Amino acid sequence: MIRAAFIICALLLVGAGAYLGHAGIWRESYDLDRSVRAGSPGAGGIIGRVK
Amino acid sequence: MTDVRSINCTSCGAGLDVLGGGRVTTHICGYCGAELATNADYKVLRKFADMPRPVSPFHIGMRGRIKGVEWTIIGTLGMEERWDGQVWVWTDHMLFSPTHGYAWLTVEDGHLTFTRRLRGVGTRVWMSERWVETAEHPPTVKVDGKRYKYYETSNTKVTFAEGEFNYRPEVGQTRQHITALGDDAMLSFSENDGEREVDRTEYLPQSETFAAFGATPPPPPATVHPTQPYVGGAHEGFLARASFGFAALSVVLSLWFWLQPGERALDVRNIAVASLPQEFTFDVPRTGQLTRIRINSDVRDGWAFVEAYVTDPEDRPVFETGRTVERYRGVSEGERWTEGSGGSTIRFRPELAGPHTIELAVSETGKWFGSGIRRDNRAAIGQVGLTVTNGVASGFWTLCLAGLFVAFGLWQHAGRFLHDLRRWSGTDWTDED
Repeated sequence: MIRAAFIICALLLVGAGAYLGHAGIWRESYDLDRSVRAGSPGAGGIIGRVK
Repeated sequence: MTDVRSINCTSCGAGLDVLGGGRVTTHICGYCGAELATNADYKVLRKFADMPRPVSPFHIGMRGRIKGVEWTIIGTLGMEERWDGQVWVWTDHMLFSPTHGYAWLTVEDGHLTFTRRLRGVGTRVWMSERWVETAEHPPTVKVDGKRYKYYETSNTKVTFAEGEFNYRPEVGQTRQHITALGDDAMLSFSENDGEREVDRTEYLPQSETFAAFGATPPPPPATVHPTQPYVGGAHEGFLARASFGFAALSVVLSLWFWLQPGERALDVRNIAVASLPQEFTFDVPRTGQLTRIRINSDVRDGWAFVEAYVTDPEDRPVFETGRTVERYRGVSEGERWTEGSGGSTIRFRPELAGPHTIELAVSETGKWFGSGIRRDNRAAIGQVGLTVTNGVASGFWTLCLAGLFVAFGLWQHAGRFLHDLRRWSGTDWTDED
């Protein structure tokens, strides 16, 4: 009983995660604070280092 | 069935039951404390006085089954260990079975354990005080294929003795025991009159054993005994395995979502910044998924703020936002470094299908030169690129779910882990030595 309940709950969670992921719900990124400015290193991470 | 006989104490005349077998050498009168030699017509050897009677739900004469064998309690010892201001007390009951000989039933903090001598093991396996004191890692021995790791060195003292014993208990004297703990039992190494003795202690099923002897069980122990086996939930293993399985499934789903290429709706390269602001049109064939706008640039030694204004098929604004694109170089301690990708991404969920418009503009720019980089008058940014992709999925939620499943699976194992920590909490081994 507990095992079946766990499997059902887990499948529901995976289904919900897959739906949210497929639809991209709450993954929009256009509403970020537009006042962000750079001007010097440190606003982002170092992405490459060449010897 | 054991024959019950009785004698009168040769010191005080009290009636004493004789319950033990032929190996009993000592009988200590519970009334006057006289130690009687059973193989010398119960001659009085000495007398113990002022012995504090230990608390125990068991008493001499009780019978019960342990591991399928019927045992009779024939003796009781009150035991004590003192160290660093702390005092530990427990009660050992000597057991006798006509078919299985002698053993010990111990009551300590409400825990019941069963101890038997391992005959002949002391000549093959031994853990000495010197080994313990000079070892860099906890000494370990193997007996019958099972591994036992050093647990503690204790000096125990007999504070009370009553009944029959197959040796002479020394009330008031201390004796050193070195103990080693395995998964389901503890070994005790001690020397008695130059003879090496190895005893094996295991945890008993508590309520069954109390019931078997007709004893009233004390309140459940609040502590974990070193030999106490872990009793997990009935579904613990299954839930842990299933959780890790679902975590793997969630990771696979995340990767699948992230590897979806989507449908390219617009790809414009080499847009001169000087020609901005400029409008570009892209089609959204259907709603229900993310659309990704990627802005690339040739920005170098500086930054630029790119503004994007998107309108839907009915020319209503969807959003207006801005992104900094940046890329810096420099030399630090002889190493070249770069920072920033020169690009940025915007994601949104279109509410209407049809042609959308994006207006791009660069509103601000700036230069920044890292150390070791020659300054120039070149503009920070010259060109931008724009790609729009429909039907984009996100693996974020399934990855979160994977984390959740892993945490749940680990939590299923945490009970055993914490139990083992508590079992070993009494060890006196310290790695600093």
